[in-house]
Amino acid sequence: MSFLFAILVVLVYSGAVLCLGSLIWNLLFRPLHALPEISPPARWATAFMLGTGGFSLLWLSLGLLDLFSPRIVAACLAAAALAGFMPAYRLTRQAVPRLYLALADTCRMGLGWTIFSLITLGLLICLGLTSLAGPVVVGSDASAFYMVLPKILAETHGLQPLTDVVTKHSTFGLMGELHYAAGMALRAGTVAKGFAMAAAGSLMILLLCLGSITGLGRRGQIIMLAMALSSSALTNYICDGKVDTFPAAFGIAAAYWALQTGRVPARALLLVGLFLGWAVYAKLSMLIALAPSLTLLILWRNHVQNAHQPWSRPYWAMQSRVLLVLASLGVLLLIPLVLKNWLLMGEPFAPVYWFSKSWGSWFAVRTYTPDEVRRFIYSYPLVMAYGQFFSQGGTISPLLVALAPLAFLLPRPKKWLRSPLFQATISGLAGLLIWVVLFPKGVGPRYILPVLMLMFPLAAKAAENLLGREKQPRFLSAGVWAALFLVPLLYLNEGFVDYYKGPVHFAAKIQDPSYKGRPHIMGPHPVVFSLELLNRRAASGDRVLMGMIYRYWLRTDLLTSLFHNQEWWQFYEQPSPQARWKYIYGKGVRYVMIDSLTHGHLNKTLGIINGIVVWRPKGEGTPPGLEVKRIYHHTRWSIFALSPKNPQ
Amino acid sequence: LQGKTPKRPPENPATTCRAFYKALLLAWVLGCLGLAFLTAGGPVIKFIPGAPGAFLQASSQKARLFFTDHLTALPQTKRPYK
Repeated sequence: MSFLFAILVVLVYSGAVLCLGSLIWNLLFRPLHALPEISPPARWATAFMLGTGGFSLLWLSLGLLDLFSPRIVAACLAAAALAGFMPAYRLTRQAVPRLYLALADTCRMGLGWTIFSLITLGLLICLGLTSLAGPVVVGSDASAFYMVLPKILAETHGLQPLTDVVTKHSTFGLMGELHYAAGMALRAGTVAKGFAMAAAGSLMILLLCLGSITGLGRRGQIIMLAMALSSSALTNYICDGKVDTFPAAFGIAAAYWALQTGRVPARALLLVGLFLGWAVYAKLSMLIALAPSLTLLILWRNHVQNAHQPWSRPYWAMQSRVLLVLASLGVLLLIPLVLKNWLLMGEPFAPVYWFSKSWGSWFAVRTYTPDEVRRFIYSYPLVMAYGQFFSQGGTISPLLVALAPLAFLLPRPKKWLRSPLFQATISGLAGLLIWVVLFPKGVGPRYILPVLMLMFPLAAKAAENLLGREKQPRFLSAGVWAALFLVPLLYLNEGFVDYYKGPVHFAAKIQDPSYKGRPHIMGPHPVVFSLELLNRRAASGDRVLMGMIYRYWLRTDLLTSLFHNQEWWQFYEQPSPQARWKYIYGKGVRYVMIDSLTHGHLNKTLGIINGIVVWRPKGEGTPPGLEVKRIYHHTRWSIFALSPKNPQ
Repeated sequence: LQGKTPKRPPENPATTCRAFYKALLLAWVLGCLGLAFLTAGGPVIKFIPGAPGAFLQASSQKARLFFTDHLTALPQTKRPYK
């Protein structure tokens, strides 16, 4: 029952988010409501994203004030639901039949298209079920930070930075994390990460609407959906508890409204500013690639709309107003980030600039050799679709790379500059170019996903055009069909196969609420097993020296008492292994966990050889009166327990 | 009726070019699909028996290596534990 209750919590939570967003939509954007240029599903998804951004600010305030208790969270949700129920109901009543009609349309397009649509729909359902029922994946950053912070916030009711290797992550804009924390506060547990699927749903609706503006038909839209679902840079993070879906969703929402420039009243620019600001807040890399890309798109569309008075004074005034609104909203939405980092870490401009030198300057995780950097720069755009580089974390769909050149067969538009398809594609390319020039090492598509998605409509339109018009012999169409069917299926099989086991997880959890994804699916994972062992053995007040990144399963009191940076520095400054053991014991540490692959240096630092603390005259070994015993060992993972030596 | 041999229509260079472009595009699409198969189709490839299977496995390994760096070449640091 608890699993079903958790799903109910996530559904009700998503509903409350929609209600808040609908309320904001009604209050601020009512003039846009009745316009035929904005389809009901787009309004619906926009309202949801407004609610997502609005609640994240509210949760941040509550977290900083130590008021993030289940009662207050529930009260806020109830208030939003009450105030926004009617607008949300109206938006839903208009949007859902349109989505249903679109689905029904796809079933009338012939057998091939129907099968293709069913495969796409099947992928979507699998993703949804995995995001609700799948486990937090060991090896994913979610189990190191992105699900750990929500867990601590939900249980301690106050926002606090995490410790040791993931401290710097606490300086990020906490968008998805705070939504997960709200779900966890309401006892949804890991199911709270299912909210990412709701955000991804909005992303997909807005992406399809964006495609519609660029001239895509229903077939092109299905192709675009298949592209999104075969982009592991998106799908990985819908399922595993990481939060990259949120900046991508805000980015696409901003792109949709940017593409509406000139078609709808200028108030829509506020939406672009809001969504762009939230996208940057959620992922700073969006500032580098997405912000210039969308600014170009808006200025371009404004230019085309005012072609009768180009380069005149009113023209410049209008363009300046656009830039001013975008910049003001961007700065306004980054103020909470600055405030949070100032209050939590004393570093207002982190993670870009750190006043204290002890933090270092930036994340040093991408340590590629010059040869590797050259290799992936020369292999653009293939590297984005096939790369498996460290920290890349998924790829963009190979369909984009495969189908984009088919654009040469598209009928030429009468006026290139006025074509929304051309505008979106060039803006996307400009963003990509800026990113590659400024951050050649940032090879992960997840850093700039909305920018890459701006190029989806071109590839989808090209394929749709070819499949609808090619004359006999239709060899090229056959090749395109093969790619359309096989690429999404191939990506079921790839290394992220676990993420698509959603239906199995779901069924198992329905039957057995205590099911944790093992041993049936994931195997008895040593990390989960070892941390649960620690939870059982550690007494209240004991501390753990954590030589491992993945920690989600650790008890909350143990998580909050992990070594702080200062303590780590003092630990390393001790003159000998013996002194280090003495130091950590004095600090209350009773267990030491070491992952020899990622923290192998700790073995040497503590004088451990083959799992035994060796005694040597030069100060290695445990200090007198202290006993260290290895209580768990599995391949690379070990746990040592510290206790006073028996006087006997 | 006049008994004239019909004239062969002049070859349209645009059509010939178009066919050539289409052949190139087909090669590109199939190439991308093949690369997707080699980089992502490992679990399928290992079930292909005999010489073709061995060839595909070797090609798959090479393709994956090309898109891999020294950090991901380390044992399973970022992937779920199997």
